Amino acid sequence: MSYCVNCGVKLEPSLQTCPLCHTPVINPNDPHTQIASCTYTPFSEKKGDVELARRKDAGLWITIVLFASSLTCLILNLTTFTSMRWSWPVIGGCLLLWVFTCPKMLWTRLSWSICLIADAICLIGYEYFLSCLTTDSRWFSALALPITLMVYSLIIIYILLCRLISRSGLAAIFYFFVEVGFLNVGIELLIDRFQDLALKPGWSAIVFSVCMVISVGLLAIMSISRLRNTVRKRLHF
Amino acid sequence: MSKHRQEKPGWYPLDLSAIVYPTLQRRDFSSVYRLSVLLKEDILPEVLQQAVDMSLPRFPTYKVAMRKGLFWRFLEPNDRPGPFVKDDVRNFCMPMPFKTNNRYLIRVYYHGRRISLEAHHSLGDGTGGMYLLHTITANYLRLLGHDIPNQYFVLDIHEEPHPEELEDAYMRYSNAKVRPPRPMEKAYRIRGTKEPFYTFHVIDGIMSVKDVMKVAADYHCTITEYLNAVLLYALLQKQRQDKPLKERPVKIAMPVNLRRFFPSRTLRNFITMIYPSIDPRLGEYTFEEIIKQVHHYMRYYINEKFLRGDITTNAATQRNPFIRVVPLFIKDFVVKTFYSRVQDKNSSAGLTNMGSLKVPEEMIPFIERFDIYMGIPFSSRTNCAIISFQDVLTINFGSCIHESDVERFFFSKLVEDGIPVTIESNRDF
Repeated sequence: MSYCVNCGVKLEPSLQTCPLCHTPVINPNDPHTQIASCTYTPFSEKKGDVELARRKDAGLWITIVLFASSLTCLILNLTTFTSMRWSWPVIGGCLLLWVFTCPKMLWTRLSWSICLIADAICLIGYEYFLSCLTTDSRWFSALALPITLMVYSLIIIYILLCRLISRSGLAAIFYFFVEVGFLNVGIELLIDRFQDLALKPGWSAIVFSVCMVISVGLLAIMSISRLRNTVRKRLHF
Repeated sequence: MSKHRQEKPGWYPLDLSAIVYPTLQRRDFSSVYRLSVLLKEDILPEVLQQAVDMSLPRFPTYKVAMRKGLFWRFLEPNDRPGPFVKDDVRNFCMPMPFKTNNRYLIRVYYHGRRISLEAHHSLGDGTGGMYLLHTITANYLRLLGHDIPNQYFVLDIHEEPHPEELEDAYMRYSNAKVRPPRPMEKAYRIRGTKEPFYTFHVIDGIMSVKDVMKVAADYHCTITEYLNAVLLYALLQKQRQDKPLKERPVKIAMPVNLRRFFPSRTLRNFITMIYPSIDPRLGEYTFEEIIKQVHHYMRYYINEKFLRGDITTNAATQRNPFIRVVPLFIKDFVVKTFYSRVQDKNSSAGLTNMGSLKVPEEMIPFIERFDIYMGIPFSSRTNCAIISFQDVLTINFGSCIHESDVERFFFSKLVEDGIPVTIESNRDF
């Protein structure tokens, strides 16, 4: 058994450094061998994982409720209110809701990227389906499809930025505001094009400016460490 | 045969303290504490499993699952298989999601000569958990052929639980005529580098009770007062080292076992918090002055009158009919916000002293020592738990931050005062 030369505490034989001051344990009689070979440690070496809660029950329940709703609407549509095919959008909506909520509950190992792609495909499919039910389907190709693609692209970019560049809270807020600014401009330009107006940002320019001011402020805080530390100190709770 | 035969209740409402713990549950946090006993021979897992299976039905409030009602959570008897004993892990006191582990809110581990019991705080406090651990250990030793009587913390597994063991004792004793206000001043908070999820750093200090008692006697105080003062001293040094823009009072959240003042056999929560503190803004405190402050604070606050007032204040919220009818999700939001914004900032560290444990005479030769861990702290700080058995006093620090400055200042002060300390740790740097 050794003593820490710095703290003066006696150290349990398996410890290689003092856990209090990080001073290495060295036997002066044999300085090249750091510690005695000790096989027993008072604490387990095995790392534990938190067991995942089963959410399958909730997933199954949502599946049953959505299926029952769809079936009921279909039967009502076929037997009672037969004037138009009103149950189709409802069934499509239920399917969309199922794709949004259930896969991750039923198959817990499913990756988020696959879920996200499935959500996007399903949403576009539903929009196309709705456009087929309406008389003028131009809104799908001119508005719905590009906006959906833009939103999902921005979500993917956001995730990549958080994962690859910085996942700090400030950085996440910075990415969010930059993307919200661009999304608003994009939406307004698409609306202008759809209405055959001149492509000129109006209300979105105000949103974009506000977002950029916030983003520049955040960028300044992020890049100047002294400022960042001051903000952290002042705002820590 | 059964001395207290009664109909088994179908559910148990959470006691006054237990209401808060499930609300604070996060992906990376559960209010889980650990009690361990270090025996003198290696543990046989199959025998331990038998001992757990034999003992648990005697503790109906520990053989339960957590359920949600519209207004409050409650505990429901759990007849699923388990809990199963497991090989111990390095990062113990892991979060305990309510829907895992067959919905049990306790875990039993073994490692070498050690048996460990982890329990969610909503089931009961350290004293309640200690009854369960002692009963499991006694049954384990009985299965190995030793004759252990039912005494002290070892309960008779053939006896029906006494109704008082299942009661919410707060409600019986929260009847003071005034409700003293809660202390609300923000305390110094340890700044440290938060470790990744699944990390729990532990540093155990093992020493002789006689040595500590001698030093405490030299300072004219009790062991609890002395160790409280050492922790305050360590926190003051840490604050000084941090060089904050504005100094704050250093406060310790210390649970007091109310069974000492209000007779109850309850195995559920029956504790309240007191906050010994030192305010460095008033001037430089010597260690002797800190001891004097802690000594007088404890004498002033730890008595039946003050504690009754304190639990009456706490119970008033739960008794308020307007609060009772608020849906659970709103209560959860309000309690969580209040806890993280006010209550958690009220103290710099936690310290609990289970005191000297008594076991039946026949069990003593098989036990080396006991350990107690307060579990992963809610915020980045360190918690300290003290327990003694025979002449072995163990001080267990648990934290989720990289730095171990508070622990270093604490144990260095003990060494300075002439107490030999042996250190064990699961830190690997």
